[in-house]
Amino acid sequence: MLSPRSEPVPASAFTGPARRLLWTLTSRPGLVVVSGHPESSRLSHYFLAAPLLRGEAVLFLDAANCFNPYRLVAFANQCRRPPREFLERVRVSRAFTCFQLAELVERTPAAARRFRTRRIVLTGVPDIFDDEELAPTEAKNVFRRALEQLRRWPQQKLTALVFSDAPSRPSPLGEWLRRALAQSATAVYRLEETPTGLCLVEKQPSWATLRKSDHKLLASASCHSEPRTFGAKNPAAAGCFTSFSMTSKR
Amino acid sequence: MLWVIDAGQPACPAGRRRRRLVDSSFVPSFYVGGALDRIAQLTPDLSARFSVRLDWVERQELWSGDWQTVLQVGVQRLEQFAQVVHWVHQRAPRLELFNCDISLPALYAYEKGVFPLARCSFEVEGPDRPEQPAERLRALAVEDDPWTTRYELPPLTVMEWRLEGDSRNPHHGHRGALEVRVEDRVETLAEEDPGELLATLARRLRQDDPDILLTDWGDSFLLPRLLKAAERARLPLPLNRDPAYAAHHKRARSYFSYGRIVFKDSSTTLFGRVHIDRKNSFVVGETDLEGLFELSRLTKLPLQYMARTSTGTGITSMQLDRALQQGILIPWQKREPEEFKSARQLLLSDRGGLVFKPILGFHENVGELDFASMFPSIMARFNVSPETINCRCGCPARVPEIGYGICQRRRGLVPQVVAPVIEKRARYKRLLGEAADPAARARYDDRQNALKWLLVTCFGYLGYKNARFGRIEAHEAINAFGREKLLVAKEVSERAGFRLLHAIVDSLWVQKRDATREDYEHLARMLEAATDLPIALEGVYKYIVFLPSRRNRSVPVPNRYFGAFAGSHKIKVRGLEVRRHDAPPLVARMQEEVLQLLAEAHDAGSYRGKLAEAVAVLARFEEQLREGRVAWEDLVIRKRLTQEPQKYQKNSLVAVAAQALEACGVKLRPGEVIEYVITAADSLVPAERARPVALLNGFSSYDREKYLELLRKAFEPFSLYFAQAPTTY
Amino acid sequence: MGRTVATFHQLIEQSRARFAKYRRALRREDQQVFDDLFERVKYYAAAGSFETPWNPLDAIFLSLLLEQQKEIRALAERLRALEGNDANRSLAAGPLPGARGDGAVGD
Repeated sequence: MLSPRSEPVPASAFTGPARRLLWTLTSRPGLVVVSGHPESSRLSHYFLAAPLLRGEAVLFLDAANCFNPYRLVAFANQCRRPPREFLERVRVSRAFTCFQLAELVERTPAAARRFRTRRIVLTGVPDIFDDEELAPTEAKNVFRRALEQLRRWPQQKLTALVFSDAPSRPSPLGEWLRRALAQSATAVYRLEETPTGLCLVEKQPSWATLRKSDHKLLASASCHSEPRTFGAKNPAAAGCFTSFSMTSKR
Repeated sequence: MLWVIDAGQPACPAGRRRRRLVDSSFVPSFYVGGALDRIAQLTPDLSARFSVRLDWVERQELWSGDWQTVLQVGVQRLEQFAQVVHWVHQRAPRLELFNCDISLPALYAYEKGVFPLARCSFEVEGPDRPEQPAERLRALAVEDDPWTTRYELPPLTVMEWRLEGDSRNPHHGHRGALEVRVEDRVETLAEEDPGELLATLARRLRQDDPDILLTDWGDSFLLPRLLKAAERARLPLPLNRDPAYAAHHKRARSYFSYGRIVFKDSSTTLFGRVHIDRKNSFVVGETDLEGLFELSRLTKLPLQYMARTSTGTGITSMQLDRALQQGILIPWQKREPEEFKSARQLLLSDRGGLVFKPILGFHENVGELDFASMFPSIMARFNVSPETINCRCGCPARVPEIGYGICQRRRGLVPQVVAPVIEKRARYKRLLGEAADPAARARYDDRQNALKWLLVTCFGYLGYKNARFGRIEAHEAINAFGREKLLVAKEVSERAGFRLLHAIVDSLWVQKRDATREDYEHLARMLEAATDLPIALEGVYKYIVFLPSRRNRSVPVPNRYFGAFAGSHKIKVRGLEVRRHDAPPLVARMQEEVLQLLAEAHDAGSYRGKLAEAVAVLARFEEQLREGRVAWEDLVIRKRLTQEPQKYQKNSLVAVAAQALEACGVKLRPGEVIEYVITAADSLVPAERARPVALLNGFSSYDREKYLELLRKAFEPFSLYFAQAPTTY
Repeated sequence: MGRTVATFHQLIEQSRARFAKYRRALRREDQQVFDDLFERVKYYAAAGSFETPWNPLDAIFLSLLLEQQKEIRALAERLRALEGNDANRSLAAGPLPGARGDGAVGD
């Protein structure tokens, strides 16, 4: 079991192949969704390590209110790098409503140019759209607009990693949102806890459950035909994570 | 539609003086912004489908302050307003809509400059048809000012309805005869037959024709039940003055706010008459009707709405009004996100106020200095507003520590709204100080208190996610100013030879041996000069005791103390049972009596003497308990449910009491408060441990040991530092 | 909108949790001292929070040193009083108010 919130989650909680994937996913353009775990968003911090070590900046769009700067400090200490370097290179913006997030997504490509980066992490997406204070049609509309933007990012050579927390209480709207996001993603991974550690399993959107109204969303979705599980392919990258453990918030 | 009380014809019978006026000149508008050609494409269809007035106008964009051309859509039929907004949004989802979700009654008030309970003069025309009671309004002139402190309220008739006896939650089983009160006349309606009861009520409503129906538990219990009974018996119950409408019922809900679960009860509102449920109104609960009237006048929100909403909504309404007056467009959904900031910057800016834990123990001659309405004062003084922080004109860095810029060219919307509220509150406080008549004092106190709540939420709302005029950077800037000012205050005090005993965000407790009241007053003026913010000397304590955490005697916690002011027998207490709503009244009363005794002490020596008397008080209470002479009302504990009753894991007393209520068919929701008495805390049978008040019967006995323990624990704070030798210095 | 970054109080708790293994292998009486130390750090939370250190442990250890130094001063003063004259005995015999605070007025 993954330790409760009050305890640190070491990177060693990830399986070896998963750790290598943390490295590669952040180095190529795409719209990658990581979901299936109740704390996917919080675990997104592990994906920051690779770009930071490569000397890149990262935009962190936090809709899950989970960003923890102290993790970056701990990580820098472990890699014997000055914390300031990492703290300056991660740029954060928090969204507390889906309207804010949609607006943020719209402004992100410009911000990416300004901060000279192509790496973007989003947390709490699409979770923040599943808001009971909002009419579902309105939520869907706002989400569609954000998604339209997100889909263009890979062509703009941007890497977007989207983290979605497994809902404590499933809702029809949440289901719809997750399905719509998955269909626009270049890859979807499920974060799973296994006896050997956290691993990332590539997942297919369930085509069978598609509804007619969803078809237009498929137009630009690109998916692999077979699920793949990741083996050791990039040993060079793996080393960076063995010592990577951070203290978590709360 | 307006309801007015005609003050001009006192000779008329009361019923004739309540007049209903219809103002058909009101054409509410919203605005459409974006690419002008896109907007222009909309207009032919829009005017073909709806009765609208379209104009191209110049309005100001909130964030930049730039004037831009937008389409003003005036909707001529009120009932179509939401429909037209929806249609435009559907047709052109990319165009921006402004001012489209303001409630129409509020919008009417903003546009016409009227407000609830305002004194106005009207020009009216008789009804079109004689059978129609509504007259037509031709012109209206407001002869009143919401900012005046001396206003005359219209002659309101208030009728009160409540169940006889203590006002306990009837949903949890409390029953009693219905009491009807108008002024000093109380009538108790003990009718068994619902038909008779309804007939009496209907007669009373017609006879007295109240303007305000003031109830206990009217929203969720009395009114819905009576209405249902009336329906079943096919009898009329003229709760509304306006027979064209039925009373409006809204469902209850539970939700999370600031990490705590809140239960919002259902509401029943009326037309042509104001229903206020004292048990379902924060404002009335805190500041009485007087505070509600004050807030309604200032915020322009209708009385029934203001009574049931938060003061945050009130301050937002004032901001909307202000924006409208200045031609500022009000964005529809709140969507301005946080600016990108580095993780380093986030570490610096995402922090709250500073707290210096108290130095525990008994201290003599201590002064308490408070920043008066610190956060609102910061907004007003330093022009902190969502649109002025890091403004687009690039004004220089002003905010300490975090270096945000503040606009020097534009006066922000929030400071514009807050400054006069601060000022008005100060005027009420002055009046309060001068007034001798107890009724006037109570009135001014309620009003200044209501304004205090308005100001308190003003800061919270800058950081609240759904606040229209919220913005994280503004919230952060205020906190940064607050920290800086508190530190400056600490430094100035220390330089002047005072010692900092305790400080919480906007209050400081400082001490200097032999300092006089004048010295403390002088210090306050010095702090004011150094911080550029108003500071008041709350008082000089003869002595104050800072208390540790309940769980660990060596751990200091903020805001847990009691102290006696010099020159009076006034005591200030924080964090003790006497201030808590959940403690049994018996315990609170014991503390109250003891504190009254201790208030007479002036130093450690005399305190010790008074403490001996206080021990006797405790003994008296203990004896009452042991002999079983305490009434159950004095033993009631009130607790808020944090979850559904059956979801409690442990058999805590609250859980046991809640489950017992549920077993009797009472539906309980998280956030609701329940009341119980401890019957046998250590019983092996959980159900015997506590009993909800509604299920108490003559045979129930209370757990003497447990209550004795509660009493002794509640006495501990008084003797804690006097177990052996007093530690004074 | 709820804070995002941990408060200094939370950081103290996290640091304490980080040493859970260390604490477990302490004797019971030492565990109590360990817990007491971390409680005392909270007394200086205003300073820790205002400084916003990147490595909270630095501020935590500094707070502990401060606390110890105050305790040493208070004890030294009591000792001096005891050695000095007997007239002060009654004063010195009283418990220290909350064991803290006295030292701070020395300067």
